[in-house]
Amino acid sequence: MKIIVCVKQVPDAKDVRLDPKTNTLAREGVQSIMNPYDQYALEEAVLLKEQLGGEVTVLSMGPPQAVDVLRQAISLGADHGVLVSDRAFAGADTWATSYTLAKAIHKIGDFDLILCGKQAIDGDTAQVGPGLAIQLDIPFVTCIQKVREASESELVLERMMDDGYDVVAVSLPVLLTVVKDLNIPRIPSLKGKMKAKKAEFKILSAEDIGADSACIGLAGSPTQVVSVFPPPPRGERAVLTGTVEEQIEQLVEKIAVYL
Amino acid sequence: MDYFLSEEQSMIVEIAKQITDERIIPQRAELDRKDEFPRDILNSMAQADLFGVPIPEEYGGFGGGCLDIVLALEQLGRGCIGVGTAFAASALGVYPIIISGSEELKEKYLPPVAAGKKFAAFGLTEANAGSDASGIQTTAVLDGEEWVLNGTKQWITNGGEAQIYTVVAITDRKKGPRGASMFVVEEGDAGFSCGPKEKKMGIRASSTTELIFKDCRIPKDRIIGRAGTGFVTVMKTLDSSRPGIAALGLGIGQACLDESTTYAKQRVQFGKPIISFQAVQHILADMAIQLEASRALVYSAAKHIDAHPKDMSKVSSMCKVMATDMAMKVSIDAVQVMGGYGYMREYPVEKMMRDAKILQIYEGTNQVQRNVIGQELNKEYSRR
Amino acid sequence: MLIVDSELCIGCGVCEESCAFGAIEVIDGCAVVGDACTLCGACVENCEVEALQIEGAEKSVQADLDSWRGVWVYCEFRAGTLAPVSLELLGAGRKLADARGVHLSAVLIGAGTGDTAQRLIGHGADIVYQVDDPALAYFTDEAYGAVLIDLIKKHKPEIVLAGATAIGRSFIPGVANSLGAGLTADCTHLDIRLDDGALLQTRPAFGGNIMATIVCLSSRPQMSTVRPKVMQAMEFDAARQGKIVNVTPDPVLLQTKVRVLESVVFEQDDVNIQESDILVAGGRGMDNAKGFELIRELADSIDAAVAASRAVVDAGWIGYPHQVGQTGKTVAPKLYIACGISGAIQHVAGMQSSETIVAINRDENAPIFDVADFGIVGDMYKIIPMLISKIEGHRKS
Repeated sequence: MKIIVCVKQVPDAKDVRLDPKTNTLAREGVQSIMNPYDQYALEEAVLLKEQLGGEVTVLSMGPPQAVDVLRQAISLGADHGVLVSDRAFAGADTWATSYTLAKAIHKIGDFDLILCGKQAIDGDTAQVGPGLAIQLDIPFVTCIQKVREASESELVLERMMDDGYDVVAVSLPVLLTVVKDLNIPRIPSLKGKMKAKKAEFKILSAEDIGADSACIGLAGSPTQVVSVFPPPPRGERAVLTGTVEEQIEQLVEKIAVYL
Repeated sequence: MDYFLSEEQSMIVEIAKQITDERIIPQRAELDRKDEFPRDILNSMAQADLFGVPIPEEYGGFGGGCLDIVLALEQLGRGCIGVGTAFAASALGVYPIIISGSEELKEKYLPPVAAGKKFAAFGLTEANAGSDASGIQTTAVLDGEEWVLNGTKQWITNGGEAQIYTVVAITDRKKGPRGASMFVVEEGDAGFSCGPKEKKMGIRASSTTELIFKDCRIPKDRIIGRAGTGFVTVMKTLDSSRPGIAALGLGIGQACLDESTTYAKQRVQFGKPIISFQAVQHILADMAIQLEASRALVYSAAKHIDAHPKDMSKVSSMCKVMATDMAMKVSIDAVQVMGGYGYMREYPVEKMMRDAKILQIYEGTNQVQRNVIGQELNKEYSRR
Repeated sequence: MLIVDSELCIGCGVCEESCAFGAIEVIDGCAVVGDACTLCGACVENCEVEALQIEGAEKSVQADLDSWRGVWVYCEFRAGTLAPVSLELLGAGRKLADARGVHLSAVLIGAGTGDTAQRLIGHGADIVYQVDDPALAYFTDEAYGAVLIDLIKKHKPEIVLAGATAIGRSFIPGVANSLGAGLTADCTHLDIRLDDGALLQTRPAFGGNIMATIVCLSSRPQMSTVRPKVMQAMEFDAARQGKIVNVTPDPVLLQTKVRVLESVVFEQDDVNIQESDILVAGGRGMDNAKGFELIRELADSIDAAVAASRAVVDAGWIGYPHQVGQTGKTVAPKLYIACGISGAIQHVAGMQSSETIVAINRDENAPIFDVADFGIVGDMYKIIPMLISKIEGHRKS
């Protein structure tokens, strides 16, 4: 089975803060990590490879330093990594991103299955996975919480819904986006880390993938950010006083409107 | 401090650190409370290739040296030395095969242990043979094509959980220490069983049981090395494994320093964080000094052992004594810095203090280690 | 891309300060653009010497922008139930439609929708496109998407809103991508710019640490998914008039490659935490699964749903659908009571837009208190039972 996993390098959210004075993201000490949802996608790809044979290619779009997440993916069991990177991609929204990834996948070649995290934790849009499927003209199923059965031709899956889950069957090729419940990502192995250290990655430019310049970056993006600002501050915490019992009494009064 | 580790050594540290932070630390309190063997955690260590570190490359391992295993165990010990002990005991269980085993035994038993598919255990101690190994009562008698083992081993780490056991038995009582031999016993061998799990003060995640041999019959070729070489193998095994125990001590020391320093920065008394009081600062400073001095000795000893495998007894004993005495002291100090909170089960240093004690006892008490060091000094100075 | 004219740049650093993404740095007296640049243009606006400009392929503008008229709301109907967010969106859509002077239409897709269309009219819709077909009994991205795309192409609405629910966040991105339309996910605020009819869509990003306002100028429709519980539904008015348009979908649209074998809907006590007005959330501080039972007791006593931190879900005390935070759900109930939750940023990201936040924790330094409106420090096992009995006392009086 040929599996492509789309991964994104994101800033670790625990480090991200907006400086209210300058309106800028504090950049000191912000670590870059593989988007957490993508880690579940990668793990599932490696599990499927172990079960059915085949190979796993990880694909990322981002600045040159995003090869770090490809390297990490190799240490976790992926076989190959491809980065699409070009300054011309800057300003891409989810439409332009899915177009670009689809072009890159055409360049990579055949596939049976594409796995994506449900969403990236920096954008939280959950749009690139479905958009990519549309661009590739294949079906997609989002929020997969369990792979019940897998064969070379068909998958039986549980997709998470707000009030339960649906069990669906789909033949390949298909694109899936995954949620956290799917698996527990492994810890990189020593062999994997050694392989990752030596791994080399294909870096594709806009020209390499034959992208139409009107469809990438800012020009290819229907949406545009007009302003960025910090969320309205929450009010000061009300002080409850006295013994714990007295505090609870005051609390019940304060929240009585909701009860 | 920067110890200028190689790239591969840094990888081992990263992997063991990730397992410790993501798998061991979130589970350690529950494993401790339930006396539960950490099979899932050991499986994730297996998947990460850690079990292969001490096994030679030709048998599916990484052929790592003493320092490599020390680095891994230090990280694991920072999380839980109960888990660390279960891991270390598997390595201890196959050292006799690595050191003295036949090619056939190596080919049969080392690859599954390197892959973490099977766990091993080491059976030496008995009711009347602890620090004094010459008191061993378990016997092995050759009967045609089979050895017949009888006797009971006590306090065997990984008992009941391991699939491969290397045990010491007397094959010729008249020869004293030269009459002992080592054998491989497998889970499921007729006449071999494990006793119930012991209830311990600490390292409760590790399993400790008796190994019971009642006319246990094993094939003749399961002997490790020649008959009568058992004690030599045991001594070399323990010499090799002691720095690993020292490393667990480093891990606990680091964890105690981390916990108590973090606490001291947060805990406010008399209007200030308690770390601003010299009385507290001095305790923390002493902890840090002892920890770093121990680490320097353990790493140096491990490098010495890797470079001079025939001259390991003294340095191996020295680093075990220093790092494990440090671990006990530092864990007591950590509880003291944290006061009442430190004594409560909801904070981890209570468990660390209970756990630390075993380090001064098992794999040769620290008193016996000092004997070894003393005897080695006596020998050295006689040669001058 | 962003071009710096090094002749004009005076190295004043205004651009560096105005960049929300930390993508510009002044090096040796001249601005240098890094890879983090998203071409948002904030620096260009702020540059007093006009040394910065964004260059690249011109964005092509759809020719017939003005022919797209009307505000649409996709009203989610699953297993016989209308998702409450649909009514909230009609409330928001009504305001937008009135501001634009256009109709508000609802799109209802499903099977056995009964009098739902009439309800939608009572809650503000002028027109309901009702697509009721047994083949649409189960949600699939393909069929629902194809039906909606077909309707949008025929009727050309300028704005399409949908709930940011599991279903909305799944098939709407496919619809938008097929149409080449701009889509903004998880909006918490919507507004109309009167001069050009641009929908100003505001949403949190980076786990709620920053807010971004997004527009879609060059194409129609403008599409948004909107979080449940942030918009206000209108009171039902039986006197409201509207038109129900029954749509019979082309059978080709209903063909799917994905087959739904079974749809499992959880029991009542596992309600969707995103739709709940009150959430009681438990964390690692509840010590163990047994301690976590206290959370359920408190929730039961105030008709709340139970939520949890990641640690608790990972420990198996409660299922993943209850997880709030970065790798779980984002919630915004009226009241959020966090018990034994330390308040790591990953958790706070999922609940900080709750109206009122109560934190109960034994650690007075827990960061959860930083976002709480009310906080009590102490032993969970004493406080929660006492809280339950005080609430019961309050209710009786």
